[in-house]
Amino acid sequence: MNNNNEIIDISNLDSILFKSFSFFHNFCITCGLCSSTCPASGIEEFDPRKIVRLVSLGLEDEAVQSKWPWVCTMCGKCENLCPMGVDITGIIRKIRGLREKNKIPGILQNGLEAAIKTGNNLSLPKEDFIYILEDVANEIKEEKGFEDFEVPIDKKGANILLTIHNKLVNTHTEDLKHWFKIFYAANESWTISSENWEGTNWAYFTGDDDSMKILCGRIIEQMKRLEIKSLLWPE
Amino acid sequence: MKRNKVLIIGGGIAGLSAALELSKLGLESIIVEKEKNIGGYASQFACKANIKCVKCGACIVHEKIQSVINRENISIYTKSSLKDIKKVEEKKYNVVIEKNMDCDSEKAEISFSINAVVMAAGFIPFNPKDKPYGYQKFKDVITNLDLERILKSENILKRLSDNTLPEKIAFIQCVGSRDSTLNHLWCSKVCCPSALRMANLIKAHQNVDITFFYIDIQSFGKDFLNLYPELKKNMKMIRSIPSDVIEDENGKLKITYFDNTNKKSIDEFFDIIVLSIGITPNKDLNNIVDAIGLQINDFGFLNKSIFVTGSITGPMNISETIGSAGITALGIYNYLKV
Ligand SMILES: Cc1cc2nc3c(=O)[nH]c(=O)nc-3n(C[C@H](O)[C@H](O)[C@H](O)COP(=O)(O)OP(=O)(O)OC[C@H]3O[C@@H](n4cnc5c(N)ncnc54)[C@H](O)[C@@H]3O)c2cc1C
Ligand code: SF4
Ligand code: SF4
Ligand code: SF4
Ligand code: SF4
Repeated sequence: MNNNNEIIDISNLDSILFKSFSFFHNFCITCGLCSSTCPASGIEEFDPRKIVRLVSLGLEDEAVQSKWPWVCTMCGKCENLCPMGVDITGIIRKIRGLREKNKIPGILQNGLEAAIKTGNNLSLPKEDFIYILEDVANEIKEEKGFEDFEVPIDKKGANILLTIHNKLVNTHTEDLKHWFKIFYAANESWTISSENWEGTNWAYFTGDDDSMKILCGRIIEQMKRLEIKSLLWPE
Repeated sequence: MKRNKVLIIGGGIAGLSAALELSKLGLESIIVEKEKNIGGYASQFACKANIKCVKCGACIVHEKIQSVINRENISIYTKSSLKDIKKVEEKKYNVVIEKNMDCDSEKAEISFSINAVVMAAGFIPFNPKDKPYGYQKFKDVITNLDLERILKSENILKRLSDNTLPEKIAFIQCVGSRDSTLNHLWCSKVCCPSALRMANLIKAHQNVDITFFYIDIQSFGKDFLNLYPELKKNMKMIRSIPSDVIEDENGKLKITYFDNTNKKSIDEFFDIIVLSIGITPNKDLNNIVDAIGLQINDFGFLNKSIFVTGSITGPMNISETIGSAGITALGIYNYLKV
């Protein structure tokens, strides 16, 4: 992005460029309420009003190449307060989606591609996944009152299908226990699918609608396969 | 023509000015005002002159009140309301006025007939209690209207909570205006000039830092445009509206905002915060609007017609209101003549 003393080439100013947006960004009255409330304001000199301005002025290239859309946490505080109802997170997602895939920052695109290819962000094989779940179940069994605990995998006709955030079968396996124990105590009928169990959907953050649909669709498929009506998708 | 009577609903600057113009044209008018005093909101404002007059218009109201009282063909009913109105024929209505509404023992009704009605019931100031700025929760968060009333009687502004002198004051503009979530899509037009003039008046009397949080300064009228460079000189002007106000344990008011110049999010503490609330439509008009065939627009203000005058048709300042009352009076005169 340009520094203070760099001059913007205003031949790029063309609000028509962003006309394909279905957002009412042109309603922005530049009040700055969004920037006052945003927890990420100031990081990398980012603030949401600037993003909405870039879009309103049609500076598409500048918006797409800027770091700013990637600073946002998608928390939605800004649009909650916006007096003109501008869909700020919608705009930011759309801009992210316009980036070339190989220029998406951090691990987002890698994780997403792994998920599309293998069913989860970690490319974790099915056997390993089941092994980890059963290992956790065995640890629970050792606790008093949980002696007959079993982790239900691919249980047809269960009441709830639970998706799993990949970190829970990676670095945070301890956290799985809380969920499992609550289900057990509540006598809930629940299950985990051995395939396409991934609960994160990084396509949401990269603004990639097509991939997002694929990942969501797979979870629906598992619900159909296992004849389950309710989904618990904690991410 | 001489026997024609005009009923004016509302004794604010609009109603008073209309009555005076009608009186000059030889028409008799009757003002019905629901409050104890005539003059409306404008009569509650401070004179903002420090070394010289800054043309805020507030003193004109007191002149108008005096002139109206001295005129023979203007009668005034205060603490009164229009209880009933019936159209008898073209240019003839029977009306019932309820007098002394606030006192059960003195309450009385009077009936008479009139030939035309002027609606001049003014505006309602926006109540910011539901905005996250702590109005009516933190004592030192006040509105511009509260400030007008304070500065009308006090030279020095003190904190309402502990009577101490403020070191830092913030003004937050556009509270309740330009806001689609409230269906208030209008700019209230009067709050930028009024707030800047008051801020300047405070600075003339006491040593205090004033910060102005605004979107853009709306300047209506050439007088204000000439004054603006002078007015903003002593103020810290921030082009951002804060999202909320929090009071800390020492009674200081915290505002978080994004500082465009330094590109940083800033927490700043103030002693007094003034919310510049705007003008909203007066929707409490019972059946009057229907009875005389007036139209309410999508925002709740009345559409302009010769029977409607002043800020009931939308935000306007005192001089614009006087102008609109002049047009109304002439319209009524022509209407009754034919
Ligand atoms: C905070 C603030 C600061 C302002 N500062 C300035 C300034 O510095 N300079 C300036 O030029 N303008 C200023 N204005 C604008 C100014 O207040 C208006 O231009 C002016 O008051 C409009 O006059 P009005 O007669 O139309 O309405 P109002 O002042 O609202 O008068 C209407 C009158 O009608 C009466 N009424 C209402 N309903 C009824 C009813 N049903 N029956 C009988 N009576 C009724 C009311 O009691 C009131 O007396 C300011 C406004 C605000 C809110
Ligand atoms: S809050 Fe809404 S209207 Fe205000 S600057 Fe942000 S996007 Fe624009
Ligand atoms: S959604 Fe993004 S831009 Fe909006 S407040 Fe949260 S971090 Fe800031
Ligand atoms: S116009 Fe305003 S500033 Fe000037 S004398 Fe009258 S009240 Fe005072
Ligand atoms: S006059 Fe100023 S403060 Fe009032 S609504 Fe308009 S821009 Fe906002």
